[in-house]
Amino acid sequence: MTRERDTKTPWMDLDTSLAPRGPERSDEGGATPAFFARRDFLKLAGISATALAACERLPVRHAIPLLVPAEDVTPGVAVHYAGTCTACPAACGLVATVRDGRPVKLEGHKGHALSQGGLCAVGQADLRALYDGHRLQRPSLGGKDVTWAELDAAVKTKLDEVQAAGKKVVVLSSTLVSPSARQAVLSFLAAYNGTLIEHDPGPGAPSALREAYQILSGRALAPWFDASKADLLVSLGDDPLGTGPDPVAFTASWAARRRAAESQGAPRHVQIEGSLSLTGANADERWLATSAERRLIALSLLSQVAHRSQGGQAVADALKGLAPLGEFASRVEALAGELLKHRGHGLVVSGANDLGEQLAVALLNRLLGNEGKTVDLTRPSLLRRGLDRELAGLLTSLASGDVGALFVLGLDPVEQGPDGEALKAALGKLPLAVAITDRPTATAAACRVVAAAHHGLESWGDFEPRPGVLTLSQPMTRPLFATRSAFESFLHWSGVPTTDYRLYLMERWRKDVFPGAQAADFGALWTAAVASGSVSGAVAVAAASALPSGSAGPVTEALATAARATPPSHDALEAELIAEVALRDGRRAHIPWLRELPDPLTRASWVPCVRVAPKRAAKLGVKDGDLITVEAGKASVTMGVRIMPGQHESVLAIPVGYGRTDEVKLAGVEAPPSASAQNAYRLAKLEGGRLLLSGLPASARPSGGRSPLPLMQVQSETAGRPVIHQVASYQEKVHGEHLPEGRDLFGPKPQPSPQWHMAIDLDACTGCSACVVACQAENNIASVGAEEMGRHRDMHWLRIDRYYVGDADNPDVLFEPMLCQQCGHAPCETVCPVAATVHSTDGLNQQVYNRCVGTRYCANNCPYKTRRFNWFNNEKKLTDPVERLVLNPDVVVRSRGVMEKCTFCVQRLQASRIAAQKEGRQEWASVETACQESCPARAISFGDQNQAEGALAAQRKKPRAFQVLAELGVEPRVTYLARVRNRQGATGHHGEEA
Amino acid sequence: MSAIGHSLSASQPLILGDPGYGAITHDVAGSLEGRPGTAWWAAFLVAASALGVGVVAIGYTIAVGIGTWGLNRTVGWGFDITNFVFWVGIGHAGTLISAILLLLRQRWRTSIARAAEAMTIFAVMCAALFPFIHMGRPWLAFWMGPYPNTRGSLWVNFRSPLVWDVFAISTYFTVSLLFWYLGMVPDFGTLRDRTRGLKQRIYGWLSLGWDGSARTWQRYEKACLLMAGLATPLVVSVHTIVSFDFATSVIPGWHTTIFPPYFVAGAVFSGFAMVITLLMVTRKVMHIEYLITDKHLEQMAKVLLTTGMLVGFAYTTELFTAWYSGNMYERFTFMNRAMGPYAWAYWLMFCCNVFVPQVFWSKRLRHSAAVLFVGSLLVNVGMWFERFNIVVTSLHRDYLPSSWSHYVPTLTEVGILVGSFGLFFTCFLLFVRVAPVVAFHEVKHTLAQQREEARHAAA
Amino acid sequence: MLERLVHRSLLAAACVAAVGLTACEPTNQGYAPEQPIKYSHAVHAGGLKIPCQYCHYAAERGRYAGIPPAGLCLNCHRQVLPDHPEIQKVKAAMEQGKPIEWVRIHQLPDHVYFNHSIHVAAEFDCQTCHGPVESTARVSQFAPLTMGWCLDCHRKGTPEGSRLTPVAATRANRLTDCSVCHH
Repeated sequence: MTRERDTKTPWMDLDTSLAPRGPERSDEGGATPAFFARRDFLKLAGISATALAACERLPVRHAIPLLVPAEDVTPGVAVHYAGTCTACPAACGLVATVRDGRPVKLEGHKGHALSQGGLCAVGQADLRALYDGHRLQRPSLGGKDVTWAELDAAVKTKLDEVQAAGKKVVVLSSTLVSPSARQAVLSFLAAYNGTLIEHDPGPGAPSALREAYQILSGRALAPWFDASKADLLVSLGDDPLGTGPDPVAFTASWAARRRAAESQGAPRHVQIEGSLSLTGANADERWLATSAERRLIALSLLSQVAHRSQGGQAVADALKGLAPLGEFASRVEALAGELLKHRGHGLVVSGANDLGEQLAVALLNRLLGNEGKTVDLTRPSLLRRGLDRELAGLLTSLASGDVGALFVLGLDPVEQGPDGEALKAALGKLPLAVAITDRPTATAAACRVVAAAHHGLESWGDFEPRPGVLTLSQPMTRPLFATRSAFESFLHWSGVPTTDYRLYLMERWRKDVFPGAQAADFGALWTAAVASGSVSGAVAVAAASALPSGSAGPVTEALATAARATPPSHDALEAELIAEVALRDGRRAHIPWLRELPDPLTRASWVPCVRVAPKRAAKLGVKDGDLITVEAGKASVTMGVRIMPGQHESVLAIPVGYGRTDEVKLAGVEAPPSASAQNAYRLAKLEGGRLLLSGLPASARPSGGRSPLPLMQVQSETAGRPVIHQVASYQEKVHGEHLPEGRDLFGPKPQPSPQWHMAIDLDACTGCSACVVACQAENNIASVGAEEMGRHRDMHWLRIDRYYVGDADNPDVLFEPMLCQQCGHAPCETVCPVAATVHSTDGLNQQVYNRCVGTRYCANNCPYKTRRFNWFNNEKKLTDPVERLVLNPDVVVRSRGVMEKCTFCVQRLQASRIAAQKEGRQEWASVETACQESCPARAISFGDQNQAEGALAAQRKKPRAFQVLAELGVEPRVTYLARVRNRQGATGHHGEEA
Repeated sequence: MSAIGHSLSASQPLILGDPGYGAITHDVAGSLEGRPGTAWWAAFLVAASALGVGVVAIGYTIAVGIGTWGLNRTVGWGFDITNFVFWVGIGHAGTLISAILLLLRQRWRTSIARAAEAMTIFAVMCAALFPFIHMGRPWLAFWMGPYPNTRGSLWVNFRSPLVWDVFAISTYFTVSLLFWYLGMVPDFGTLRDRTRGLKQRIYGWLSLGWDGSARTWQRYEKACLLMAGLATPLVVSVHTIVSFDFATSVIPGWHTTIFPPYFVAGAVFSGFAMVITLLMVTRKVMHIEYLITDKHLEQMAKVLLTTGMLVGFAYTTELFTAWYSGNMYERFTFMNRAMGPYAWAYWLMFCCNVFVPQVFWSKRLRHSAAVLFVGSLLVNVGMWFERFNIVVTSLHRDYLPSSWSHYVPTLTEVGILVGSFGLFFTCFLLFVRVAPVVAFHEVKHTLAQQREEARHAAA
Repeated sequence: MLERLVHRSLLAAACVAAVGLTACEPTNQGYAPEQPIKYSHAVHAGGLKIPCQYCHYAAERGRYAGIPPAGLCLNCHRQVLPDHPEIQKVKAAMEQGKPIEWVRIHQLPDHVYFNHSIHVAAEFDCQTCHGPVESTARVSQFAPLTMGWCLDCHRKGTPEGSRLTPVAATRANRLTDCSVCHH
């Protein structure tokens, strides 16, 4: 499998025999009957009807106006409301575009202190979750629909019984980032002296991190990491860019530092991990290490740094008798030196749920003086608060039966936890088990009481991702169903006077946020806050005081135990549960947009796959798509294999979030057969009060059979084509192919402003794929399902090509967003017989869907293969009227047999032209495309290429700029900036050597 | 080729023995008057059911969508355009034989011209089917034609080779059809006089009131000559323009200046192969070996040899230019054809089109019916795969390797291919039942000349 | 006989072509359906000189001109002619809370994006496209609303002397680009 490779030529995959083949891809029986059953002769009739319709009058349609003119809703005019994203606890700022009372697009909120305008793929797809036809639509009691009054009565009576029986009342929730919600829940619990247990499934910001700081500074908190100030970033098995607790905010700060490289010197990013993560893919240097090795590396780094920094002696002593480093020795020493060199300008993070490692990392940051600079403890992160031991405690007390009432809020522990079956049984036996969720999850099925909750876009809320950052969210639409805000439910049950959550929220703000504000000016302040989506000006930060540094005793003790831990054995196979960019912890695994999104690294969509190193695959004798069974402890999962370069030979990476029972029917799109055999949470182990997701001793065996992986990239070699570049420094010039100017036969064409042009900085682009989903949402791009994806009939207008450079065991990874290049000399335009694709005055390559007859000649002749054909009537799959609400009314929904492609969001360009003309402005180039707007790294700049100034011009002037296939003379309108790999070491402002 | 013709007419007769005018008429026309034999019925049954398969497959495609085919985002054309080019190619021999050879005064053409022309008509019909059904929205096919409309007016894109195709093929079809019909007028006259009742009425109509007067004959000859002159350039133009579909694109393996001559040569090649196949069956079934003699077949075998080598030359030239150009994309495409996933198709093409015809160097093999028949069939297979190679292997690995893919046809596509053959043979079988397969007025003319020559030789 | 046949066939061909070309171009011009309420523009716009955009207030703001909500009618008609049978219908609609289903007259295909506001801003009279509505009792489709008809104006570009800023003046200020209406 592994082959000798030069360090220049990009490549893409290992298995050359990956091209779609065999029956499952090409043969008839596979898919078409499903379509045929639905369509056969009706469609024939339909066609003749269409033909006739062409010669007849249009059918009678009715125009039904509102009864009473609604305020601030003008039919057909979009309104923008600020809010906060609730797709995950990160609470990024968002702006919803609302048309006729329905949100049709979510964008990032530029004014947000943390997310700074980006919105990730999951956030973008949250709109689709709002219009999900399979949401819970009304409260139910023991499977029967009831009114809220009945439900509340039932819950209250039960609660009283439970209290009388002297049993515990527990609320199990994902971290409550909303202070008001937290207060509502806590006050409810106070009424029944119950406890709140917060828990977030999936990897990222593990419990051990907070426990380490509890030992270190007396408070179980997770510090806020600021990568924008980090010249040197060292990450041990952590994936903050891709699947961390706040990927958007971290990406923003990480990219900010890289974009500033020209002025502040080149940053450097070292990743030490066992399985190739998105963060690892973006690192300047990557080491492969198992979980045990990572712990050892962390401790060794600490001891070396401790030796060479004052006040580190105690630590150094505690770490005596550390196991030998083996192959890593020299590298660790060098890295320690580098860290010391960048005192106060470095950042070390770890994703391990291991106390010793987290403690080591925390101490590293402290000894290196990074605290207060890149590591903020005074205003920590409030995105993760749970401690695994509390969860463990709950499970034991559930088993022992001291719990009388359990309220599960937004979580699905039955399927997103280690021992689902036991929990399910326990829930069944509970006197009162309440599921508060918007989805028919397995937990909801196991609970007698199901309080159907609002979607985040339907409800009020406030959010405090870190002290001093306080945002609001307002309902973007009236509730679609008879649901109720989760926290309003708690208000009802706790019997407080104000059961209206909005009023409750305002009440709290009056007291806590704007204390001492008069009624009148509170109104003003409140309105302003709602309008802007956040509180302008700094909010009083509680607990800004310096933290008590914990006593040295337990610290050294813990370190010593860690040091004594068994030295890593090299060839023992270990399973690592990873989150994927699209699914994260699996909360939104039922959204077709996210399932269809090809993973940026594996390039597989819909179907989960175990990531196996080339050498290991050879040992197991498996190929891509072969089914493999991984056993860890009692549990096991069976998935297809994906051979991944850059994977540690003895690490099997298994994505969580798949195999949910409620994902079977996915919004009209055929979901892959997804048995619970694919639920990786089963492998997680609750051990010593800690939930282990990585370093799980495992065994693997091919279980026979194949699960065809819908891979979007099946080619292994790039045949040495100059389609992507990486350079060693920010000054290095890319030697791409270029053509002399003025070779235009008919002389230069007039170039009236604006002439649209896009520049994409591959050095900032992390491949997070937010843009892909943003494009899908903006342009009504259909989801076609696993089988069609397997046939390479993906519809994404914007895709992210992934390339490797160098050795197959640990290559560099490159991402290249590929979209229609809007060629000046577009090959597609000359060949269309009916002139359905023609050039516009502002240099766009227009696609007129209603003129297209579908010869596919244009797609054949496109060198970039960015044109997408409607093989079937995809749009007809959106049968549920609720789900059709997601469509953008300004963009045509394409029918069968029509070609479509990226248009640089021409609907936005036209809108901005109209606005400019109405306002009497000459300039109308200040417009953003959907992909650009969503990008957390701000890697995309877009505008008029005639402008000599501005971001776009600056980007295009950089030496790293190149264009793909420019040598064809098609004059692409997209410029790329090559990725920089900093091998030399960071050149920031150096900290003084101690 | 005229050299061949003269040497031939000098050496031995084009019509074996001297059956006499009456016999010729009887044999050709008589077969139309009797009832069809079991052989015909069997053949017709097979052809018709194949056609049925095609109708179902096409109906399914139009009902459900192009998604029923094996195409994908990378390979936008597969069997559809392959078949299209293949059939257009077949449709070449007819007009070539009847028009060009007429102008070149090749007398040996007389016996075979009629059948060849018929074949042309039906092949072009099959070809024209594919541009229509390969569209995503075939019911809007009329947008391909320029016509005044209320859209402002919105015209077709005259830069698009597909539009040129529409014009080229429709013109070629019309002219071929007229030429074919014109050629049959005198024979229809004869048939009118031989038949009674309804048949007579129909042949009467078709013969356009033909009276064998010298004046009519003289005008008729002139008309034929003019039609021939009109048809000749079309023979070359049609396939040239079809080749533009590829030559004007940017895809490596398509973007080639050699395509026009290469395609025309290939077309003549495959066309003649098909003529041989058909006539060998026809003459056996109709017992007219003395009219369509081994000489005729041998002539055509020689044409196969010539064009086969032309095609082979084109293949090698392509490889050379790809290498010599130094263009990495061009080079890769041809490496990929010869060694990639579709190498089998490439080498199959190469063997059938370049190596197989070499057997026709030997006179003995040119005269062996079996060799000739199998050879002609193989050539047709090879030519189909030539088009498959051009269309698919160029597309499935073009510029950006990240998008490279693979193409495997579905049963639907195979069904459509079968159907096109069904259509072709059904039409041909019906043709041999209603119209004279051999232009007997021309053959008689040839016979007369032959007698003249014989008398001169005696004197 | 030959000539006659040729003549016949040529004639037939010509007819087929003509029919094919003309018949298959749909327009709804002159379409004037019965409306649920006998509302007269002649009375309101013509007689009372109520400006069009008092009722069709959305026209200057955005894409759709909009059909006035029943509530808007009653702003006046609570006082004016409250007992008129047609007004009664409106009242009934309000009481039952079910909106009035007007029959739509001006229909553009779904794949055409038309924005009223920019045309209002360009100071076109409503009559330019909707005809002398103020003098008709029952509204009918005045213009053919075909693409050619749209282009007749768009080819001229941003109208002279309107307060619109002409955007870079080439190709009739790019108002004939496909994506102006099709996206």
